Amino acid sequence: MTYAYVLRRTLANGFAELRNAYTVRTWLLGWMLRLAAQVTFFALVGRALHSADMTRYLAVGNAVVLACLESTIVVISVNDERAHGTFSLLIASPVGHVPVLLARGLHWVLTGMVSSTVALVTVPVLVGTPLPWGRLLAAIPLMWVVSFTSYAYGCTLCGLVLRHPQLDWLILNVGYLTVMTLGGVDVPVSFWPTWLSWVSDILPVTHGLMAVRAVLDGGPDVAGQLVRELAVGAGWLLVGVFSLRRFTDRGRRNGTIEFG
Amino acid sequence: MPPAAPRLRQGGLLWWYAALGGARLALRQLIRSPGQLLTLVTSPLFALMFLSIAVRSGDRDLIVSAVFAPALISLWLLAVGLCGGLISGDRWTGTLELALVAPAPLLLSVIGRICATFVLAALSMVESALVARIGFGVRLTLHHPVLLALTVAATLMAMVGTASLFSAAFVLSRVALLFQNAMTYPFYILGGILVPVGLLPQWLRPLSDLVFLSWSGDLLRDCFGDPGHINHWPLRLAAITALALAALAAGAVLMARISGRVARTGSATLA
Repeated sequence: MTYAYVLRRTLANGFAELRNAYTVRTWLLGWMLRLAAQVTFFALVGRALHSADMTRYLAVGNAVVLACLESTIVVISVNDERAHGTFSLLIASPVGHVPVLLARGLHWVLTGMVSSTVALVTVPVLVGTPLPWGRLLAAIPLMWVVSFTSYAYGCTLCGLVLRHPQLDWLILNVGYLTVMTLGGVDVPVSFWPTWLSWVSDILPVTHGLMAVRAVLDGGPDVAGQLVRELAVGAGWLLVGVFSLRRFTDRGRRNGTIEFG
Repeated sequence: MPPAAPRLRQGGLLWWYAALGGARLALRQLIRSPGQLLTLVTSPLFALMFLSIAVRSGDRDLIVSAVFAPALISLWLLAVGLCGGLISGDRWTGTLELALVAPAPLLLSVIGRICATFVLAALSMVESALVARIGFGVRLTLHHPVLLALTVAATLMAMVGTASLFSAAFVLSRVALLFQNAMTYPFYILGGILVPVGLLPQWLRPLSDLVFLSWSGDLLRDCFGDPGHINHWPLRLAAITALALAALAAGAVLMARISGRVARTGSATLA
């Protein structure tokens, strides 16, 4: 009951923050248009190469990775929370700080689901490689799973940002660009040397995207890839919780909760 | 005996000192604020991403574009993001008041600061070339060094002009961050950073001509990609210069209006 209350209130807080930053018009014409342009930018490479397969590969990969991009913005929300000076109150609260911080960017998961869905539905049509509707509808829920596993990855990045608050945008950008580069978004994971493909294996998106592609192409092992994606997400969540606890334990010992 | 009053520098010398002072300030801020070095960290990742697509496709033209794209992205991000937020940043920290009452025009110190950040774009070009060479064994051959120097100079001018325009325009906006975010990928498409502008629908091409990146990117790629004669290069160079001057003029007018307005309304500082 208490956790549900924390989740509800933190989500309300997040959406209030979002309403403060965007109106529906600025979200659609500013943010959403920018995200759709990002997917189109990469998909056009396939068109320049006169390859429908490449166009579709890039459009699907870059639409799905939007879910990761938005989910990892939790990094900025948590860093702002610290800047507001509420940490000591959260730590002293009966539930503790971890549930609040873990829920602090959940609104980004929801907007990420919307953005990636809109991009996956519209951009392939725009670049001339429409996806079959039946398979598209089956692939969308898998993409939403990627939103949550990426969020868990973002929570781990929060641990880093809390220790180096001045590097918040840098950590966010490096975090999601690493996924964009190695997660099978633009080239298959097998393109990279073996040691880099090991890194790909533990990143969010990699297996979820394979599952999405398998559904869209009628390929095998959808369930296996989905389970791997969930396992990767659970792993990142554990690391994130551990990291947030360590940060506050150390802060309580040193008296540096407010100022790091 | 009271110390002698410092002699005020006049005319051209004053202008030069204002720009140089701005450049020195920007370089010190860059060194001391690691967050501002974002483009240096993201450039190699963009290079890896673009080059992986290009090398996998085996298309020579795309490989050349993939080497230059991260530097052009850095250039644009610096113009829109870092430089675009200069005056707004001064307003928040309370230093805009002092800059406005200084003898030199505000525009000059802003131009100096913008020029200094160009170092980052140049470094990101080096990073991208290193990723291409070490990571993918791609080596580019420079066929037209003089044209390259001219293109880089014109591009620097265009960046200064565009950044000073954004710097002034974003002061007026309450949602500057939103604009800064929104003005990335749509402009990478219009600027033909990775794929030729010719792929865009006909109705978008006039817009693309107004983005200096489309001219700069094409010329930079031609300097390395084409050993023969480069078509219409004086005209293309003139287009970059004209866009630079137009943006600079618009930036100067806007900045003068803003300086007058914040002085009149007493809103030079938000700190």
